[in-house]
Amino acid sequence: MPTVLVVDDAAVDRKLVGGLLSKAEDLRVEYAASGAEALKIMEAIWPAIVVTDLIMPGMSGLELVQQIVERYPRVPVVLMTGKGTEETAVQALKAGAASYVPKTALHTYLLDTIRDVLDVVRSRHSHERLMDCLTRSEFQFRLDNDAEMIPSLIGYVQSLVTSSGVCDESSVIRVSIALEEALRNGMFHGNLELTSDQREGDPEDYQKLVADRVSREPYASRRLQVTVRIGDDRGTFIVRDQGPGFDPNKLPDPTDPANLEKVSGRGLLLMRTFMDEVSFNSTGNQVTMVKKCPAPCPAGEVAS
Amino acid sequence: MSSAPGSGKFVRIDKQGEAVVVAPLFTFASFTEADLVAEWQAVQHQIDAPEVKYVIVDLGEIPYFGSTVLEWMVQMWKRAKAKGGSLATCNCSKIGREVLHAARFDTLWGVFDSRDEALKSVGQTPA
Repeated sequence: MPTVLVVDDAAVDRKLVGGLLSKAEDLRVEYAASGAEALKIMEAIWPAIVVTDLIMPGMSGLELVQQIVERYPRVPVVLMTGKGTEETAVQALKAGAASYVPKTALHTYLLDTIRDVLDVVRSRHSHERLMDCLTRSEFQFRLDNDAEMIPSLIGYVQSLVTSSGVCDESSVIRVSIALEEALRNGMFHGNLELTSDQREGDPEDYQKLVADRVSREPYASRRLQVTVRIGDDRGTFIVRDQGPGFDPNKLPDPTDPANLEKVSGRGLLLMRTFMDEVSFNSTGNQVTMVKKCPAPCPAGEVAS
Repeated sequence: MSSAPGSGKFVRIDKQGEAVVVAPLFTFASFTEADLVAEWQAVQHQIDAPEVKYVIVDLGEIPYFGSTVLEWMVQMWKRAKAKGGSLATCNCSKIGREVLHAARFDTLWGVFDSRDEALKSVGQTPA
């Protein structure tokens, strides 16, 4: 039976909330009179959800949310907000609280809110467990030369590599940076054949040039093929453009002091910095990047 | 004297004496370059003001960044340098520092933990 941990320094409010939750036969209720006591209790029992007041002596509700997010990221927190605590509630929501219920409306909304949050958490845990069982997956995208697709694709890949266990939180950012560079290189330098020199000029002129090439042949019909392969001990990311290609060995070294003032030309450097392996095909229009799991990932464990 | 010349969707600009403080508000997951052009012009306009010599890039609002932000920073640095000034960064995340280090910009630009430190490094008094 899921346990709800109710945290409030006012005994009368704890009693009120306890009374409301006692109507639910499928929930068990524990109480804490302070944030510190709540954390102490959480060392012994793992509640399914925490319901906390915001204004408490000692550790505030906001601090409690921050502690729970850090120590028990899977335990959702619902805030009970009073008049004048709106700003703190916003901060707590930004810090990771799952939802809030005004104290004046606890009768109406508290139980439903708890159930809604628990449903979402159950569904997310179930998805995470399923992803832990994933041994191999491959996705292929074919993109127009529309830069608006890049953030969407990166967002999708972030979610994929995180949920599949290929990347931890810091690795996923490194993968995202490298992938973004590869996508921009393929789209702008590959398909649209825009050069670093053109990039050096006025940004507005450059954007006009981009707009012109996006609608003009032979550039307009070129596509960017992106393959994301998850499995074993790594994520593999292949970006292939339909431009003429280039020789990566002939690129100037952007870290050479003579080149530091150049505006562009650091994409490949960042790709090499944040991926474990980066290689090009012989024509230079396809880059393959590999990120290895920081530790044996679930897919690798299942595969072996 | 501090003033607030402007805040757009993607960048916030403050002025502090001879320094312009530019704070990017975007990560690459939330913008396209075309979106940035108009705001870039506002940044340029502020840096080109006669009294401005220094640029402070406050990276505290973005957890990470790639070559687009670096390109902006190089453009700003060159404009400040042309006026005998310099550029410094502050509030950079761990991964942001890795990006600056990979590009060797940490050898050219001051990298400070706070905006006040960055302002002091270019001889400006924090607000």
